[in-house]
This record gives sequence, structure tokens and C-alpha cells, in this order.
Amino acid sequence: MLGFVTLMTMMAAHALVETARDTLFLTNLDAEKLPWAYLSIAALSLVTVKANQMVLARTRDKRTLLAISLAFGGVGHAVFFQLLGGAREPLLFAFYVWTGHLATILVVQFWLLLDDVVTVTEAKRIFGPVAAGGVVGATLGSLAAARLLDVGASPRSLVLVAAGVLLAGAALPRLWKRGEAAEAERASAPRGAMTTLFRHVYLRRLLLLVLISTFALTGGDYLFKAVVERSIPPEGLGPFFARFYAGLNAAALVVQLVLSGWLLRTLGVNRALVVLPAVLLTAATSFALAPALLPVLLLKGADGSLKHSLHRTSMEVLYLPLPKRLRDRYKAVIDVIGQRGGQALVSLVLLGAVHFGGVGPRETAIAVAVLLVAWLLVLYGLKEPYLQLFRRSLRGGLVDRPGLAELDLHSFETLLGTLNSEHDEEVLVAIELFERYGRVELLPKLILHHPSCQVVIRALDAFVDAGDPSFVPTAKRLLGHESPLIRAAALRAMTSVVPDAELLEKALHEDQAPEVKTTALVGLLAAQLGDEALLRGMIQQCIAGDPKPVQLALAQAIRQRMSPIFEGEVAALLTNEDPDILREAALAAAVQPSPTFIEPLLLLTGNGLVRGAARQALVAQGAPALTRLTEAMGDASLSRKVRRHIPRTIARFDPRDAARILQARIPYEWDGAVRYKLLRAIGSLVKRHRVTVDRTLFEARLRTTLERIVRLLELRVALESSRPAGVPEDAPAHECLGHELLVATLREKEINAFERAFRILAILDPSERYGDIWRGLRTGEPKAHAASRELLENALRGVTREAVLALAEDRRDAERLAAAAAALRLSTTPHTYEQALGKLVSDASESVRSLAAYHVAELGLTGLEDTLAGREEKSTAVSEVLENALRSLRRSEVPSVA
Amino acid sequence: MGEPRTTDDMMVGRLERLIMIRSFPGYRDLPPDEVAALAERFVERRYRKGDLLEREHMPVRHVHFLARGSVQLRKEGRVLRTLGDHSVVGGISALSGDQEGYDVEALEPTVTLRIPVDEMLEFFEDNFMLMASAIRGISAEVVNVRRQLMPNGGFVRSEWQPEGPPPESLDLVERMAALRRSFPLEGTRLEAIADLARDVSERRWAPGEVIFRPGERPDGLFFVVYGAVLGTSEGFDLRFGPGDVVGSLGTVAGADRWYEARTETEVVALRLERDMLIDVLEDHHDLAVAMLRALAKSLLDSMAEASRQGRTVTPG
Repeated sequence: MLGFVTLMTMMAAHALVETARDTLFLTNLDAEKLPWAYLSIAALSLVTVKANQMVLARTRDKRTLLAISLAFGGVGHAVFFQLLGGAREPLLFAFYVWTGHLATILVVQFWLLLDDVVTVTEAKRIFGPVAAGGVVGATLGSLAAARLLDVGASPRSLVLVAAGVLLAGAALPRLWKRGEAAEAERASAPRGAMTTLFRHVYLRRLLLLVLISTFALTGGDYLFKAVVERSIPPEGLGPFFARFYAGLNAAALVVQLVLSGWLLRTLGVNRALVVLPAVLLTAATSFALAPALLPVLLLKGADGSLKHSLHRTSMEVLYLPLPKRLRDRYKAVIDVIGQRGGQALVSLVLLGAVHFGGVGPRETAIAVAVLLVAWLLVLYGLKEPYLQLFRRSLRGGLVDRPGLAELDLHSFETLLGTLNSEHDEEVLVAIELFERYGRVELLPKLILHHPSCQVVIRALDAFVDAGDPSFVPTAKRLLGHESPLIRAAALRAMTSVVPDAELLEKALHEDQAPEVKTTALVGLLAAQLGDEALLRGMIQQCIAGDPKPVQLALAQAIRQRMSPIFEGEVAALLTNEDPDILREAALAAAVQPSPTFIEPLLLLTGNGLVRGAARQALVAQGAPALTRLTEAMGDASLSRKVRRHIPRTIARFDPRDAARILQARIPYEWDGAVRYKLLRAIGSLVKRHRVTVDRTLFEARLRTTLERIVRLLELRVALESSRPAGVPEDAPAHECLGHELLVATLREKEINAFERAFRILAILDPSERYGDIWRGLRTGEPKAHAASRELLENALRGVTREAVLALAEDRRDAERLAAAAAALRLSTTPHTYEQALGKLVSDASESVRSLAAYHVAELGLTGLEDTLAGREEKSTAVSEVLENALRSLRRSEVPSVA
Repeated sequence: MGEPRTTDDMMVGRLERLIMIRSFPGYRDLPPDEVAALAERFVERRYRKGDLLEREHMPVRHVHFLARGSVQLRKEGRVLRTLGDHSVVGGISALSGDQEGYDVEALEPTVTLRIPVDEMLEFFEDNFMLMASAIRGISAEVVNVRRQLMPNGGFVRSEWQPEGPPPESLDLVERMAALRRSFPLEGTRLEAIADLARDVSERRWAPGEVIFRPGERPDGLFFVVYGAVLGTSEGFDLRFGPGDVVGSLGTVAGADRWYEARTETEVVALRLERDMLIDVLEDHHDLAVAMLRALAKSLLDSMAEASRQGRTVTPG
């Protein structure tokens, strides 16, 4: 309301002086002087903007700044009232510049103040009414001016009235609440201001938009004034302008109050901004085709009625996604350069063309039409950066960066330097990165003398995996290392790349450490050296009863020397209970696939400690494993802890096959947790591999999910707003455990279903960041919520858009329900408490069915006994609850909770 | 990487930053690309000797990964801890919602990689491995500190006395109610509780039976529904009752049992496997965050208690 009144005051004063100014200027000066006036306004405004920033740095309060500016404007008007008594040309010119400059600065200050306290969603709701304040003010000002002129007042006297209005209005800004971030970011103005303005793609395009729109509007204004000057005698100009502007302002008010908000909400900012140039283009083209006063009046009419209402509101919203420090810094600059500088530039061009090129109104109209087309093109180009700013705001201002940097000289030096780190963990990461870059040959062999066993073993593994035997001479010394783990690792690594029977025999017979002996056994068997039966028997013995370190050494040795001859040993190790041994066995199974590994690997996916290795091994088994996993998804007898990990295991296979299998499973999956995993797995495939999905399936799924939310909401609203029949008003029907749990579960189901809807949206449109949008809606932080809504408004279409926005709205549940149901064309009927419970005992969710049955028994609602008894329940867990509930109802007792 | 003398020598490059972050526990198993993306979200901060990274009486909002240097944590004039490079500072206070914070003073030129705790949690949502690692790590720390808090280990002793017979077999709703009572975490969703209720198994013991012994590898945690469980270890005398969870921290941390749990009365409990809990946490980010925050608060409280008892808490 304060915004409305403040803007109304400012614009009323401006309408009064505008009438006086245009009358005096056009009566006494040529229209050709206008460009110089615009240019002077721009130059003066730039100076004022700079001064504003300095004042703001001291006061840190935009309210004070606006109050000072209003008072200063009032005093300035009063001074001009005095001076205009002897109306001379330079003074009139100065007066024109003063009024234009003051309006520019005041309006910029006003909107910056408002921008600080609203989100984009609030802006769409309140900017319209606030801007209506401006239109109302302008209308009142124009009507007052016309009335004063009608009763014989001089145009000059309007200036004094305007001065009084501004001085009175100076008290208003202090009544506003202070902008929250005014202090926090005061010192963060960016350096290299103009460079930033031109480098920042959004700021640059915003400036271009303001410039081109100003070119077009100024051209149109010039055309209008030139045609009016020729068509209407000088003595009729004052009353004409007063009445015409009053009419325009009245039209603008109607647009603002009736159309503006609705258009903004339904079209969105980007499309709402198209309305004004589209109408102007129609008018300019009409004039170019058939020059007459009417198209010019239409042109100015559109300008006057839309520019300060729909267009202004939409333009202000465009500044909101900008970080505050950029908005504070550049909004004023863009407005001044774009509007006043643009006015000056285009006026000069027009005058030059009129004088030297003999350009008439028709040619002007053509030029304006061309500019309007450019305006529309700039708007088109602004949409993506506008949305990108919201996306960045949801990601904390971060832009996506490529993952791992290329291995350039500097990176290589860093990696080498890291090998000298005192932290073993860093050295291990560096070795891994050498592998990751595929440059293990650059890993210095001296790393094998590192004091850490872990590092040496990791380096040996890296050399073996790279198949590079050049490490062997250095590794030889390690065979005498004091640690049996290192001796075993060295033996394993060396004989992997260069089989050496003598070395293995020596280790088997001379080294006392069982880890080394076991490693030698595996090496000999792998190289088919020695008595196979004897060697295998010794290995079996180890598997059967040796301590963990020895079994682990065996598993590691087998992994590195894996071949079909170790199939039995690996199958046996896969049934071990130790996660370290299981991991090595799974990795061995990944090296040499065999159908015998598939079943144990499948079961291992239920073990979080070895799941990664098990998945890797299953993928290595290829098609047979994929077939088994596909079957396993439909196997109800399989443990839930294994089933729930199958979707993401399948997602590791060929992305297209995986997507096909996972999609096919969705309609048949009975477990909500597994269905959720299916969605996540498909989402991941779409995001990472851009696989194509069955759009019809997911669109239908999206529709079903949104309908599910509405139904859950409907039943929850019924439970919360009604009471069971027969339960007295003072009985605690809403305070019992069943009600509490049921309502909370329904609320959570809605949230979960909504999240699933966003996952489906991400699958259907991977180019949009629906994950971030969902998080933004859930943060409870108004700006993030508004940014998410803005992105949704632009990304979604049709029924989905309306339904999702309705559900995401921060309104009462009953209102959300009505809006979402209407969007989805679903009929909703008010349910009694019993009816709602009756539906919930048949719900798709096990927990909802169970809680509803429990609550029926808790309340002793015997009227629902038949409903409970008639259910054919497949879930054992729910059956138990149903039986307990029925028993309780028949005993007419209230069950107790442990 | 050499020994820096001043903070000016200590700019942390992109790859170096990746290596450093990846070398922290929990980050080692992440794909390098993921860590590289995370590394971009950290902001490098440099401090001179004597600078304060965080101030007491101000809530800690950031998690600092100490790249170089060392810091001292102080509260009310008492030194809580001294941490060197490759330590994480601020996470526990920030996660626990502690409004009082503590002084964190650089003891030498120090470089940290800093990230707001909310951003960290957001990253955890996409990389559950990290969340699981953080939960495991903090649980291990809590166990470590509590083992020094004799005689109650920071647990509230249950005063439960038998009231009627043990409940009959619990159905799904009754299991949900029991779990909900034992999971008083802010933000815990019933959906998650319902998931857990499907995964738990009911266990019953007669008086005097051993539930687990010290040194055993933990395979599950027990939500006591009925009865009393005694926990004994040298210098400790614990008693758990309905609503308590026995063996939870050690199970989550993957640490061996450190006391013997023996039933004092008939006991009915719900047993949850560690993997099942982790699965449910993965599916319910809110629950995982609530658990992480509760663990952080528990650690902070335990450290404060240790400090009150005049014990020096050795980081685990």
C-alpha cells in the first residue's frame, strides 16, 4: 500500500509538470530541440546516479535517499515556478531537462527500493497494484492539470502544485520497511563497472533491450508529437495534451488493474513483455501503409496505456533475478543510459534524417517498425539468460564446470609434487589420478620405496594394471622387505607381468610368511607350474581355515592372476563373510566372467560394504547377468534388501538396454521403495547418457502421480476438517495416535509423490534442472521458492504447468486442492471422516492401509467392519494389522500401542 | 608440496584441491569427476597466525577443510582441541545447530577450503556415499568420546520397571509406533519409519541372556520395546529400557561392540541390520540429515561433558 501511495504521489506530480512542460516547450520551442534535452537528461542523470551511490554508501538506506530526492524535487519545482515567470528559451530548455531528470531518478530509486523487499513471485503479484499507483497518480495529475487549465490557471502554476505534492510525498519513504540486504552488501560493488556491464550477458542484453525499446518508443513519441503539432493549432495543444494524457492514463489504469497481473501470471514475464512491441508494431506498420492521425494515436495510446503498466511491471521483474549488488549498481545505469541516452540518440538520428534526408513521418514509421522487430528479437534472446540467472541462484551462484581438468604440465607437476606429500592419503589419490589419466608410465618407479605399505601396494597394483613391466627391477628389492604384505604384493605384481617359476618356488619354500606362500601358490597354479592337484589342495586348505590376512592375500593374488582355473576358488571366496575378502573375490569375478558367479554376486548387492565391487563384477558377466537381474526384479521371494538395489545395478549395464528394462518394470513393480529406485536409476541414465525414454509411459506416469497427490490431499483435508459421526465434539478424535500417524503419513506421501513428479519431469526434460527446482521449493527460503516457481512457469506447459504450480503454491490445503483438481479436470467431493477412512483402507500404500485399519479400530467405527473384512490383502504386514483391527472391533475394544 | 612460510605461498590449485579433498575419509571412493565438481564449490581462505576462523558466541556456518596449518578450538577459555592439516573444522558445531559456536584460532599460517554447511548437505544428497561416511565418522567419534565418560557413557540410565506382560507379536503399526518413539529426530518422516518398520525383525529374550559381547563385530541395532537391558564394561554401568536403542552408535560406526549387553528382564526388541538402516537413510535424505545433526549434537554434548569432567578427549 505504501508503494502504491508513494508511486501515486510521484507520478501525480510528474503528470502535472509534464503537462506544463510539454505545453510550454512545444509552444515556445521547436520539437527539434528535444534530442538535446534528452541528451542533457541522460548526462545529468548519470552524474546523479553516481552521486546517489555515494550517498547510499553513507546512509545505507534507500528510504532516506528517496525521501531526500522527493524533497529536493519539490524545492526544485518551486524554484522553477519562480524562474518560469519570464519564460525564456534557455530556461524552458532547462526546465524540460530538470523534469525529465527528476522523473528518471525518482522512478529508479523507487523500484530499487521495492526490488529489495520482494521475490519474483511477490513481484508478479504486487508490482501490478503498485504500478497501478503510478497510473492512478498520473491520471489524477493529468485530470487535475486539465481542470486547472480549464478554470484559467496558467501552465506555470501546475509546477507549483507539483512542488507541493512532492514535498508532501517526501514523508512517505521513511514509513517503508528497510530492505533486508541493504547493509550486508553495501561494500560489494563490483570493480570495472562498465566492463562488467558489457561482459555480463544478461546485463548486456538488458541494456540492449532498454536501448532498443527506447529507440522505438522515442521514435514513436516523436512521430506522435510531430503529427499532432502539424494537426492541432498551438492554442489547442495544452487542452489536447491534458485530455489525451488523462485518457491514456485512464486506459493504463484499466490495463493495470484488469489485465496486467493476469497477463503476467498466465503468460509469464517473457511473453508479457512481447505485448507492447507487438501492438506498437501493428500501429507503426498501419501508419507506414496508410499515414493518418488514427494509427499515430493508437501507437501513442499503446505506449501510454501499456508502457507504465504491463511493460513497466514486467521490465522491473527482469531485474529481480540479478544478484542485489549487480542490480543496485547497474539498474540505474541501464535505465539512464538506455532510456535517456537512447532518447537522445534516436532523436538526433531522426532530426538529422528529417533535416538532411528529407525523411517524413512515413519513413519514420518504417524505421520504428524495424526497431520494434529488433526489440522482439532481443526479448527472444533474453529469455534463456533470464532463466539461467534463476538456475544459478538455486545453485548458490555456481556455474557448471567440467569435472577433472586435463593433464597439462602444471597438473603433472602438481601430481609429482603430491607424491612427496607427508599424507599417505594424498599420495594414494595422486597414484589413482595417474591411472585415471592413463599415464601410469609417468609414475616414478621410486614410489616403490615409499615408507607406507599401503602406498607401495597401491603403486604395484597400478603398474600391474597398466601392464608395464618396467617396474620389475625396482620391485625386486621389495622381495626382501620386512613386511610380508609388501613381499606378497611384490611377488604377485612381478610374476603377473613376467611369470617366473624360480622366483615363485623360492618364495613358496623359503619365505615363512603364509601371505607370501599363498601368493606363490596362486602364481604357480596360474602359470601351470608344479603339481596342480597339490597346489589346488593347499589353496583349498587356505580357503577353508586360514586366518583372514592369508585368505585376503590369496584373494588378492587370485584377482591379479585371475583365469578360468580359479573359478572354483573364487566361487568359494564369494561365500566368505569378510567384506575385504568378498571385495577381492568380486573383483576377481569381474576379471574372468562365469555363470557360477552370478547368483552369489546378485546376493552381494544387498551388502553395502561390497556392493560396488559386486556391481562391477555383475556388469562384467554381461548378458547372462543382466537377464538374471531382470528376472530377479520380479522375484517376490528375493530379499527386499537385494531387490531394492537391482535397478541401480541394471543401470550400470549398457544404458539403452538398462533404460528399456527398467522402464518395462515400472508398471509391474509393487514395492514403492523399488519403484522409487527405478525412477532414480532411469533419471540417472537420462542425465548421464541422454538415453531416450518412452515419453507416453512417463507422461502417463506424471499424470497418475499428480492425480495421486490430489487424491491424497483430498483425503487428508477430509480427515483434518471433519470428525467421525457419533464422536462428541469434546472427544479427542484428532488427538489419537492413529489420526496423527495417518495424517502425517498422508502429508509425507504427498511430498514424496511430488518429488517423484519432479523426477519424472527430469526424465522427460533433462535440459532443465528439476532437482534444483525441487530443492528450491522445499527450502522455505522465499527467494529460492520464487526462483523455482519462475523456472517452472517457463519450463512447463498446459495441464502439467497449472497443476504443478497449484500444488507448489504456498496456500491453504483446501485452496491448493481446488486449484490442482481444476487443472487436472478432476472432480472432488467432500468426504465424511468415515468415507475418507473407508477409501484409505483400500489405498495403494501398505502403511496407509495399515494405519487406516488401525485407526478404524482405534475409534471403534464398527460401520467400517465390513469394509475391513471384505479386503483381500496380499501383504502379510497389512494382513496382521487388519486381523488385529477386526478382532478389536469385534471385541469393541481399543487396541493399545506398545 | 613443500613447507609454506606465509599464507601467500599457499594458494591451493584446482588439482591440488581435488587431491586434498579426495584424501579425506569418505571422499576416496567417489569418482574423481564428482570430487572435482565438489572442489569447485569450496572457497579458499587464508589466515595469518592468530586470526580467528570462527568466533565464539556466533553460530558456525561453514565447514573448513584444513589444507595447510593448524588451529585450536576454544570455548569459554578452555581448549577443546588442536587440529592439524587434513582435519575438518566446524562441521560438528554447524550441523548440531549450536548457536554459541567456539573460537577457532590459526596457530600458524593456515589455508582452509571452506563450504557452507547447507551446500555440503546438498552435495551429500546427490552423493550418499559421503553422507554415509559422515554418519559413520561422527558415530565413531561419539563412541570414542562416550567410552571416556564413565560410568554412564553419556547415556541416560533407564528407570523402567516391569508393567504388565510383554506385548504379543507386534504388527506393522505397532512397530512404527515403537520405532517412532526411539527415533525422536527432528524431521524424521513417517515414510522412513514405515520403511524401517518393514525391515526390522522382532526379537525376544529371557532374563539373563546375552545380546552381544565386547569385541564382537556389530551386525545390527536393537530398539527396545519392552524390558530392561544392562550394559557392562570396565567402569561402566548402563541400563537401557523401552524407547532406547542398544548398540546403535557402534553399529553405524562399524566399530566393535565395547560393552556386554545382557537382558535384566524379559526383553522384546526390534532388530535392524546396519545395511537396512543405511538403505533407508539413502532413500530418505531428510532422515539422514536429521540423524547427522543429532549425532553432531550428541558429540558436542559428550565433548562438553568430558570437558566438565576435566577429561582430555583424544580425537578418534
